[in-house]
Amino acid sequence: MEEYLLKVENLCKSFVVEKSLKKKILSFFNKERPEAVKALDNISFNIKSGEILGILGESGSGKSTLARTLMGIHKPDSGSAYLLGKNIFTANKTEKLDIYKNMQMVFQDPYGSLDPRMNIRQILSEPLKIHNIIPKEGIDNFLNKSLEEVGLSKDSLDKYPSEFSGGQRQRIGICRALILNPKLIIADEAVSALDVSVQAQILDLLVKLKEKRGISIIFISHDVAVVRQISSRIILLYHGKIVEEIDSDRLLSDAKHEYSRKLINAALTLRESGINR
Amino acid sequence: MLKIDNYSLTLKGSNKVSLPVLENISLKVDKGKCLGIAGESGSGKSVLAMSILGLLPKTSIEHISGQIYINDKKITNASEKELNDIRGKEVGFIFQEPMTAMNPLMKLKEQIAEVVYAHKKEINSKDADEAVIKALSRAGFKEPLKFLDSYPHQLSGGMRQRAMIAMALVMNPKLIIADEPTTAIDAELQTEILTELRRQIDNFGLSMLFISHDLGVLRSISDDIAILYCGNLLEKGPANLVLKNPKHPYTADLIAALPRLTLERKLPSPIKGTLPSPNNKPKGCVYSDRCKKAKDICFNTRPPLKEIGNNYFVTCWE
Repeated sequence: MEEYLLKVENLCKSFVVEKSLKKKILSFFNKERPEAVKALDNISFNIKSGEILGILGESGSGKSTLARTLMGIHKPDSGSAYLLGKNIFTANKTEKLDIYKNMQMVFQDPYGSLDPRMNIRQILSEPLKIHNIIPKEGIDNFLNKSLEEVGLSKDSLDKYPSEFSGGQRQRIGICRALILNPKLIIADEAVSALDVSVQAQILDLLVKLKEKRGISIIFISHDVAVVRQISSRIILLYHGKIVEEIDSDRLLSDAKHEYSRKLINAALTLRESGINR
Repeated sequence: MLKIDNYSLTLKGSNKVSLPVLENISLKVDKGKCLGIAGESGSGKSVLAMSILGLLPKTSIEHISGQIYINDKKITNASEKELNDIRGKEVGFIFQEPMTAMNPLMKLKEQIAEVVYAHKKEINSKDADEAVIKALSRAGFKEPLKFLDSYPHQLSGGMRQRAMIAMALVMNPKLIIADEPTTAIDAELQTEILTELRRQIDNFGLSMLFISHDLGVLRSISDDIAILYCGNLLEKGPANLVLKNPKHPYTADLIAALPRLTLERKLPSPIKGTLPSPNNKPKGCVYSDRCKKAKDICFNTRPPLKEIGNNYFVTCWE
């Protein structure tokens, strides 16, 4: 049963398209059903422990909706997701607390995802408070050790997010996600806002954390090169559907779907051959 | 077109700290060529772009030395009025994020015509619209008339970026400064925009200063590449030479940090440490504290910019 860490089955989520008041009234009288966009259309996949799964797609493909639905930010229309055998969507409040202790998220924007009015001690200890965890070695010792693990210096606890660079803030975001010692991390475009040199540092950190702690990572990005390098298996999303699932080693040579080839070719132009001149 | 001659800029930091953000920068952009400037955030690349157009608030500047020329005109001490004549008309600017750089409440034609009205006070609205339509089609809009009344949010990402290009082109400038115009967008759109910009250079003899942290992007568009680090120029030369056989260890490290799509699948190698802050630069070479090849002399004495080939310069003791 517990073969997979996370198992997602037939997940669907659609959003109703906002209309102008005039159109709303018209469609009410015409008894039209509200227009909806299928952001996630029958998504099924699974992830084993210690695995990095890449989710690749352009903007609008539904990759962020997937992350948010799994994290409970959006409510799914139908489908199920099991973390360690427990259904995330039907769990009650206390069960959810337990589930999300094992599943945490790293966000894209290193500026918007940290509260500017909280210092690093407050930011990192908030999850501990919610889960009522008191570290044996004392809170500061524990937090300093965690900061060290993500490559930040010990004098950081009293500082505020504004005193850090983008790359350092992303390390803080990763540290916050790790503080509860989760089994799965969802990283939604976690390196997209960073310079390439800092990107490489963060990717390196994620891989090291995976090896050291044995965590799994769902790595979401629009960047073919980055996803292919960090993950062992890749799911390609297009208009909310999984169009292909493939081992990263075989992506360049064996990807079949038209959309996959289009993405790969664009990335090859950008990363290897250069534009036609 | 653009000549930057031994330009240094020191800004006022908080607590009366001096921040030397640019040191002895010499660069030039020839007609019909593209100079790519590569640098991490904090390297001074955006400050350089802003000082070319005099966009930095006067109160924040502590000291300037050296000169910047646009079309042989000295602009370092130009008045605000003179600068306003240059901005938009002789030099166009393409910003990073079209969503924040455009006014969400203005129609596309109003947005672009604003530049026209700023330079030609007497122009009638018909001629202004004409100029907008011309700029839009030059930027690759196939049916510009259809989009004149669109608001930014009604355009796709690619169209928004093209509208930004049209805005920079509307007064027919000879030089474009593009500050990270393709960062954080999908690869397909990036190649589309890069191809469009290169077309402007090749077909209209436009000169361009293209700023990016991504050497992969710069390779596609530039003729020459300059590597900026900590306000200093570390390497400058023809793009193919700099990228194929980098002479400065920093350039080599930047290339190794690029995500690649080669057959062998391996992670990019990160550069250790972080960029030093402008008021705390190493005494010797600015890259000495992170350089794998640093020797004694690198830590103590700053290397000079030396010419190692035709139009090829490097700042390194190697």
